[in-house]
Amino acid sequence: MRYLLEPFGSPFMQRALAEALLLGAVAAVVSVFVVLRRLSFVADVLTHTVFPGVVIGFVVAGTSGIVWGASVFAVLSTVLITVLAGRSRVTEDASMAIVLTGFFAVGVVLVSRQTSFTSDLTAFLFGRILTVDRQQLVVTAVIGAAVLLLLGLLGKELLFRAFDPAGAEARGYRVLALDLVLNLVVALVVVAAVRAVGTVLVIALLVVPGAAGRLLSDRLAGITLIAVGTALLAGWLGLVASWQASVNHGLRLASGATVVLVLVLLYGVAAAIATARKVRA
Amino acid sequence: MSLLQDGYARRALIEALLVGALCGLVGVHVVLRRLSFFTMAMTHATFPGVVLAALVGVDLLLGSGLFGVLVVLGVSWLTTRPRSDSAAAVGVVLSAGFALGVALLSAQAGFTRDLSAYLVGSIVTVQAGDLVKTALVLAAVALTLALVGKELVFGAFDRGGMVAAGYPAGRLDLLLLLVVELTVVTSVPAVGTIQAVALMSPPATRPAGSTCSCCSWSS
Repeated sequence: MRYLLEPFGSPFMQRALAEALLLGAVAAVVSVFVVLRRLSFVADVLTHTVFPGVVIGFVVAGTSGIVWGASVFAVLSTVLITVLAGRSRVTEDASMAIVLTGFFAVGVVLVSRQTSFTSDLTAFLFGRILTVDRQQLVVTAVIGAAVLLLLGLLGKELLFRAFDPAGAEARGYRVLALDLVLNLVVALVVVAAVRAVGTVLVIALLVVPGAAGRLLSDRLAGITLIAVGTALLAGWLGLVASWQASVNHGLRLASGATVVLVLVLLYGVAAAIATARKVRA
Repeated sequence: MSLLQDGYARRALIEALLVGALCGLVGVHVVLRRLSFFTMAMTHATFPGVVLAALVGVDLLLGSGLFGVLVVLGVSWLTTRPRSDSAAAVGVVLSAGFALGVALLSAQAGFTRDLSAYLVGSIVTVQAGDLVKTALVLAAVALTLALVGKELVFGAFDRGGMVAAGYPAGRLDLLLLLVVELTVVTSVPAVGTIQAVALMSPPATRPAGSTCSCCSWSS
C-alpha cells in the first residue's frame, strides 16, 4: 500500500494526480457516449483537428494560449465534422480521414517553423502531466464542469438520439443539433486533456473506459460507473508506475503513456471477465 | 531537370511514385469498406513495432510488419468479443499500441527526434534497399489484389451474399486488413503517418454522380 501512495508526497505529483483523476472521470463519462454512438473515429479525428489550434495558440500567446487556440479549433472542427457526417453517405469515412490529415498536417507544418519544434511537438502530442500547475487544474475543472453540465441537461435526449435517431427526429428533437453538442463535448475533453496527456493519448481516455464498461454491463448506470472507476484507477496506478519506474529502476517512462497502458490492461481484465461470464453462462 | 541530379532526389521521387501507387491500389478497398479509422489506427499501433525493431536491431520494415500482424489479429479477435463493436476495439488497440511505443521511446534517449521522422516521414533519406523493399511490397500487394480483388469488392458490398455463396468472407476480411497493415508499415517510413492515411483516402473517394467502376478509381 505504501508503494501505491509513496509517489504522492510532492506537490507536483499531487497536482498530476488531481489532473489525472479529474480528467479521467470527465473523459470516462463522455467515453460512455462515444462507445454508445460509435464515435471512436470522430473522437480520433477531433484529437487531430484540435492540434493546429494548439500550435497557433502557442505561437501567438505562449503556453497560456494553448487552451484558447485549441478551443477555437475544437468548435470549428466540430461544426465541420458534424456537417460532413450529416451530409455525405458513402464517403463519410473517407471525408473524416481527409479532414483529419489536412488539419493535422497544417499543425505539423506550423510547429516545424518553430525552432523548438521537436520538444513542442512532443509536449502537444503526449502532454506533460508532471508539469501541471494550479491554473491548469482550474481550467480542467471548469471544462469538466461545463461538460458534465451539458451532459446532465441533455443526457436523456442524447440517449434517445443514440438508440432511435428516427424516433427522436419524429418527436421534434433536432438530431443535428444534438450531434453537434456531443461532438463539442468530445472536443472540449480533448482541449482539457491537451496539456496533461496530449492530443494523441486522449483518445484512449475517450474510448477505453466506455468500452470496458460496455463489456461488463448492460445498463447505462453500470457502464458509467465502471468507466469512471476504470479511468480513476488507471490515472492513479499509471502515475505510480511511472514514478516507481523512474525513482526505483532508473527507467524513464512517460506518465501519459503509463496511464494509458494501465487503462488498456484494465480493459483486458474486463474482457477476460466478460469472456469468463459468457463461458459460465 | 536539375532537381534530379542528386541521387537522393531521384530515389525520393521513385519512392514517392511507388508508395503513391501502393496506397492508391489499397485505398480503393479502404474507402469501400470504410477502413479509414482502421488505417489511421494502424499507423499508431505499429509505432511500437518500429521502436522495438530499432531497439533490437532488426530491419525496421520486418519488425514493424510482424508487430503489425499481431495488432491486426488483436483487432480481429477483439471485434469477435461479445458486446464490443469494431470501432471501440480499434480505439483500444490504437491507444495500447501508441502508448506502448511512447513508453518504449521515452525509456531511451532519442525521444523527440525519432518521433518527427515517424510523423512526417523521411523520404529524402530513402536508400536503394528501401526502394527494393517498397517495390517488392507493391508487387506482392498488386498481385494479391489482382487475384482476390473481385471477391473483396463482393464482400464489401454484400457480405451476407458472399457468405451464402460459400466464400471464406472472414478470411478475406482478415487478408485485406493484413494488406492494409503491410501498406501502412511500408509507407510510413517514407511519407509519415499523416501522409500515409491521406494517400489511402482522398484519391480513392468517388466523386458524386460518377459511374461505379472500380477500375477507374485506382489512382
